[in-house]
Amino acid sequence: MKKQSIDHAHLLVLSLLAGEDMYGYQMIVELARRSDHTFEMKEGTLYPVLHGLERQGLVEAYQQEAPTGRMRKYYHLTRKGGAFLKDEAAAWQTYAGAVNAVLRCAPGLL
Amino acid sequence: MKRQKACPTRRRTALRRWGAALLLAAVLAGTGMYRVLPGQAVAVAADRGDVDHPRVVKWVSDRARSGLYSLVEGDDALMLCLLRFSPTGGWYDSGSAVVETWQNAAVSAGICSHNHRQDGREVLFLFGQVAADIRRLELEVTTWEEEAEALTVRTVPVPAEDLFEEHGRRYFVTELEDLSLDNWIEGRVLGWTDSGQIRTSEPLLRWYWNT
Amino acid sequence: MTKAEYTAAVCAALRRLTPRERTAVREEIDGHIQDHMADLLALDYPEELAEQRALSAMGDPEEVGKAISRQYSPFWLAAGRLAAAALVLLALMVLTNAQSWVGLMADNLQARWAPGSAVPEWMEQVHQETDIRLEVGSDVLYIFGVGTDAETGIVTVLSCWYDQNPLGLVSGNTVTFQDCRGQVLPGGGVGGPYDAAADFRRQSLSVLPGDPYVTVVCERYGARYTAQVPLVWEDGL
Repeated sequence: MKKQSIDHAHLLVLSLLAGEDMYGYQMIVELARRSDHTFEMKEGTLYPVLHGLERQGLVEAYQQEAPTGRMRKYYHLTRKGGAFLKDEAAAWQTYAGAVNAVLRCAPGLL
Repeated sequence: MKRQKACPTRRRTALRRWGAALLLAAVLAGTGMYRVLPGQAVAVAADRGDVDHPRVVKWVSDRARSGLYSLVEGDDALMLCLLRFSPTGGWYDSGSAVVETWQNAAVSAGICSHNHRQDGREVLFLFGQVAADIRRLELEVTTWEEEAEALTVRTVPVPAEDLFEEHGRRYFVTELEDLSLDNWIEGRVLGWTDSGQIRTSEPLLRWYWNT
Repeated sequence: MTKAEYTAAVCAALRRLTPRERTAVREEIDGHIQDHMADLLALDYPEELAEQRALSAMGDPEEVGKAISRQYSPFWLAAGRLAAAALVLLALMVLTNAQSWVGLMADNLQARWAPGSAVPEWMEQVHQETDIRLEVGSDVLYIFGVGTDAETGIVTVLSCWYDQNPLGLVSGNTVTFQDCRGQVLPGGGVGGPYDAAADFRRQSLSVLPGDPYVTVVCERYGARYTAQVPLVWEDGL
């Protein structure tokens, strides 16, 4: 399957955090796992996304001690982030549904 | 429990600091440690001058703009007070004059003078309270003239616009020019009623401040 | 490229960040690479290959750095610094003004509760501690000590003024004394420690030895405030 480019990185990161607080590398691993390796972004580009979400108030960060002993930066979905995620997910569903509907009408595709 | 430490954003840090700054500013202004409003300095001057329940009747400025003068009415006295502003503490009173009004005399008056050492200026204010029927006022001053070696009596009229009414009472505040307390012996204020009668004040008390 | 070079390249592109923020980013990126390498090492990758794999998975360091840098708002940094400056200024103001404030209150409370401690040298002349307080306007006249000399008939009265409000100022009212026959006694007073908060006075009055009391009189705005100050004479007078 061709690898899809990430246009909705923010949406994906937020949805990852909806379940639990995570740190950067953990998110990369989870994303690859849940999407069955469809989404595999350049790992460094995750951080601009995270810091941008932090700046917008959609996530907040804290440091926590890792088993290795060093401090790790964890990200947590804020209430504002949760509401934003809900709206964006709904918008995406509408969009995807509409695309599917059109594709269904074309013979031999689905 | 694993150790946790928050990572605030620039926005949160800035807002927290501004909140603290506002709190501190409120404490300073609210307690009167920093007198943001001239009225706060008036309250301090009234306490010092033994004026109960002070109420500002008028704000006046002298021609040279050395500060803000406030005419303050209390239960038993009338005060004229010079207020100045300092960046470190806010407004402060720089010398006041108090006239007793509990006798309800037809004319109660006093002199408030400030000697500004920096410019060598002397600013004199005549102020007081009058009964309802007084229409015109004059200051009668007895001075000692060095050269003539004699006592001279002068009369200085009080401009009509400096006599005003506020909350049912009549007051006057006027800046005196070409007059100095240096050779002043005695002063009185004369008030004329509509019917032409004259009422005289007590000999004026002079309050003198070096600033 | 090594791990250290990669992280340094990212940090070099973090234009807008303060040193502290830059350190935080470096630690985060470094930690990420380490975590990735740890996973690869667990799969028996040799260390150098693990490092190369991890770094190539990160992407171009300069682009990463620039993109992170764009997320930091110069506006809020400036606002934060301005607030810090304002806080320092305000704190200084509180310190300078609180000092005089506290001093005023301390003087007021001392006059109110322990006036003798403010004038220890005067207290030596006094052998009768009294507590006579007269409320005059917003102030209180507190007569706290009396001394009598049976030989000369000189009575020493120690008093102080303080404002009822602990943060208030005294107004300086004049006080006269009368003997028990109603005669006004000439004032012979000495001023003591005075500032806006408390005003101490020591008065020396001439009476007939054996007089039972003197009266303190204060006139203010047409009202008259009086109090009797009992006198104690030695030698059974």
